[in-house]
Amino acid sequence: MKVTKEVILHIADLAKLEVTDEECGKLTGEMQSIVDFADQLNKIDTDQIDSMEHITQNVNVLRDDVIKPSFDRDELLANAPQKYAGCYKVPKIVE
Amino acid sequence: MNYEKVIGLEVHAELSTNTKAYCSCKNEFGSPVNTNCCPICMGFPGILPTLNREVVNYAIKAGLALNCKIRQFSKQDRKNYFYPDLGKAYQITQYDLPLCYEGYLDIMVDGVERRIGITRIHIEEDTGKLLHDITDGSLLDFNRAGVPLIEVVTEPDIRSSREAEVFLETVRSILQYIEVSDGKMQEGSIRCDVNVSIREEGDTKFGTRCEMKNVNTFSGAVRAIEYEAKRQQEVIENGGVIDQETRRWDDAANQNFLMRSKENSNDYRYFPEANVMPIVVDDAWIESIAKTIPELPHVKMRRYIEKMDLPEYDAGIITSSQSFSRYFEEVVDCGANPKEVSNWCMGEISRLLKETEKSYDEIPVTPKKLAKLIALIDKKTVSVSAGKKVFTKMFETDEDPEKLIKEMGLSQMNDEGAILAMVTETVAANPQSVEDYKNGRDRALGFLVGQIMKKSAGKANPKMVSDMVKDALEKA
Amino acid sequence: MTIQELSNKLNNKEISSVEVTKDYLEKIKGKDEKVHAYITVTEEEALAAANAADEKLASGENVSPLCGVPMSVKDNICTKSIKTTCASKILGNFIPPYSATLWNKLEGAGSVILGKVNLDEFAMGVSTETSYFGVTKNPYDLGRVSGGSSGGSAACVAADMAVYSIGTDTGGSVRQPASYCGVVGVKPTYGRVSRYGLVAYASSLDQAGVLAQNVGDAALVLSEMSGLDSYDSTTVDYAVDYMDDLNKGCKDFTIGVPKEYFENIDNDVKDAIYKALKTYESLGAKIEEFSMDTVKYALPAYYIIGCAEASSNLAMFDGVRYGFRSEDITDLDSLYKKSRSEGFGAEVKRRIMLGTYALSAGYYDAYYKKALKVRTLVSKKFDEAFSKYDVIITPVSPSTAFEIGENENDPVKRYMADICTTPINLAGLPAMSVPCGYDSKNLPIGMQILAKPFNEKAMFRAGAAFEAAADFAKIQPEI
Repeated sequence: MKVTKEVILHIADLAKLEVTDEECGKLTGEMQSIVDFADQLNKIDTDQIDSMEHITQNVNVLRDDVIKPSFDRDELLANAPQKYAGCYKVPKIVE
Repeated sequence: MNYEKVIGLEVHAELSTNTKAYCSCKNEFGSPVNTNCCPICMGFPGILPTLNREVVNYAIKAGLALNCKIRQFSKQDRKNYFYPDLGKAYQITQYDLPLCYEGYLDIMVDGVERRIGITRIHIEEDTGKLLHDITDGSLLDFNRAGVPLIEVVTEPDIRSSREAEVFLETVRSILQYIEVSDGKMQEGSIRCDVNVSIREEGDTKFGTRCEMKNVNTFSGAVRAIEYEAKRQQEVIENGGVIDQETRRWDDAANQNFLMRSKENSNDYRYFPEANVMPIVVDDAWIESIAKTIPELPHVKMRRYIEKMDLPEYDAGIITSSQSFSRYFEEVVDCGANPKEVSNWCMGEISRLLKETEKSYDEIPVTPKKLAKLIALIDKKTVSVSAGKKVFTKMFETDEDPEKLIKEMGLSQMNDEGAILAMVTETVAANPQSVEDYKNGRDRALGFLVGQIMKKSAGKANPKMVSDMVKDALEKA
Repeated sequence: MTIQELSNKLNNKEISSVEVTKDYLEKIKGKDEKVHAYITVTEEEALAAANAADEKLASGENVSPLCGVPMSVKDNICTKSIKTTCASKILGNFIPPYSATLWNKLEGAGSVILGKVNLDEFAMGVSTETSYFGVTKNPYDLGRVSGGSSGGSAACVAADMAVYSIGTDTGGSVRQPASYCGVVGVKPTYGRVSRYGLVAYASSLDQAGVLAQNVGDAALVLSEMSGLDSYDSTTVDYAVDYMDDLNKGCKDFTIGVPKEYFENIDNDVKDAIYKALKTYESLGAKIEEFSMDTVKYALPAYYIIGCAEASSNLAMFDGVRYGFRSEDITDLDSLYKKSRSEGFGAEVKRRIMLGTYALSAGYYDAYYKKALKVRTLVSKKFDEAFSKYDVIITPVSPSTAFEIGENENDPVKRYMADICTTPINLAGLPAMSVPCGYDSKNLPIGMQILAKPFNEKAMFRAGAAFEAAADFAKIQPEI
């Protein structure tokens, strides 16, 4: 699989990362070698194999519908970069 | 060129569980901002979700009520995207193995029955809320983050905005009936996305569809569908092509707009949620939930129409609320005639509920007492209009109707002799009216009846009076 | 001093926890300038905990052997009211409002926290070189790495700046640094220890582990942090059943040695392990070589799964609710992009990119889904092997501690350091690194002992037996 600059820019956008032109060049090379490394998996035949999505065999691990006290708002907002009137604040969003 | 609308709906309903889907915070609308939160629903580092059992129970119940198959093995998946109201930057949902699938709902639209296919129902979590009350930014409230949702997706079987409206109303009332969602649109507990495409009448291929978001009311859904179908028709008639897009409905402006890239170019990169274990549902579990499902509104409605001879409209209103239909049935169970009870429900009860701003589960008159009042009216102990006055008082105090009739002095006079005497006296005293009546002026009858009713302070049996006056006029 | 020794002294009132703690704090002041294991030293909290521990010890009530014992915690584990940075600029000032379940347990047992220790940023790395706060040096050679990602944990135990340390292991991050620093490092079976409060790297691979001076200490700490947790649906209700049998030895054990794990391994490392196997033979165990060729596929599968899950788990670091928010923002998109790009280091960004790619439309089947299937194969192969063997022994890493800056520009080469440890995380097995010798430069070599899921008993027995019988001379780091 060929990793191109376009691929890098698209992936970076999805991941909300900014990539400068210089970084892009370096990253393209690095990603290509990692992708080639990952492509080794194509050599294995896994057609008849199920994918392993969970390690343990537990099923139906469910919680009772009982209310527990919520956290104190100030405690939760203590790490907020910006807050106002008991809420987190972000730049104005136009929908 | 005649076009047909092809509509599919994605209905999101908040489940009325005590706690959120993945944490034990209170699931409650209207609390002060960020007071029903914890590190889990706010998406703090290190947190893990734990699935609420009732969410699964409620979803299975909804699936059964909507005639779905319940999947034996289902799991949760992550839908990844960035938006401030999504704390973890992924929503836990179900992607390829939804809990319920292949269902249907039969709806009655203006006398015609239609079957709408339901592709799937799955469990997911709601996002927080963005508030735009300030000028230099937007604010985030996470009270709603993590509230459990079911998403009901229909097949593209709906063919008109009216059908869509009926479908939505029916689904809402079913969810309320089975008590999995309170369906309060004004609180946002039920919302929908609308998918619309059009095609030439008779064509079997589907046109390109557009999805509309931000449809917040059922009447809004009707407007949105009408607008979008028209928009698409205009595009096609001008030689254009419909692009598959997500558009945002603006109800105030009565139009929709192309949404910015968030919806249109997003790759959600779904993958299995490793932190939540799979859900395995066996027959015993399904059976235990099926047992708790009451008679559903559309089934009830049909029963009211066919067995109780109620008009479709009335049956529809009464069955639209489980509380209302429960009340109706309790009064009928006390021996009252269903049609009469229905009239009271549609008339006085509805009026007084509106005036006092009460809801259907707050009707202050005990069913037994209403049944008694109805019996008293049937026996002619009190007239219909006097009976309404009594009922209005009962709505305040829930007193015994017989007692109130006596206290309010509203007993109907049914004494034939006494009434005849009054009739004879009044007819004799109004020769002009007799003359008018003979000359074809029927209003004279009403005038004379009115006089007698006034004389009897409203107590005379009006039908008896009317019959006797007519009789007397004929003979005069 | 080991936990056992210290606990005895504390219980006999030969020494107080406050005295021991002060002593460790002094050692940290003296040594850590050179080693740089600690990101945050929690002097106040430590002394307060030591005082409380002394009171508990004096009261005569039943106390845990961990009561009053000074230790450290890797800085990607949430400790309430104590800064938890994950060695990243993006969480540089984050103070969690809650503690990880495992920390609640250890704190409740009377542990004295000396501080939060260094790691590769977000636990992504093999050398602690990607830490925003600078690399942790190997106490055996300050020009070399202490391993990663739990480099701080391994170094502080090796340099006697903590009695033991809690680390995390996603692809070898407890075992490899333990090997490089000559201490014991245990990763339990996936599901033994709650992950609630562990800042997630890869949800299906992460486990908290212990770095300690000997097998007995590691087993003890693990037993105190294990258990079903209602906050973590992936924990399993499996009783701790290995403490009593710890020193029962491994006579009659059949030990499997997978030959593919010994390919491309430095000679010194191989020799040390072969020597260790001889020791096992002398103890009565049977050694059998066998083939398990899935090892070469496990590493790429691990990177795909790990990075894919990481790309999702690290998306919450967006500058909105906590952590670093860039100054240079004009709108929502720039808030995300600038905060994340300025806040994350290069290795983290690389892994997020790879993970996003592996999950993206069109590639999901070829990469992520494929990796999940390879995972099944790797796991099945281990199942088959464990039907014959009580434990399996392999090297921990192809080499001993490498030089700081080595392989800086070759990410794939660096990933190869994990080749022996990553298959274990894929299958969720318990595994332990036990020191088994030194190379020609006197750098520590570790041997990896693994067992089937929830069979920590066999793993610890094998480790303890070797430890007791091992006859190589222990070298203390000069620091």
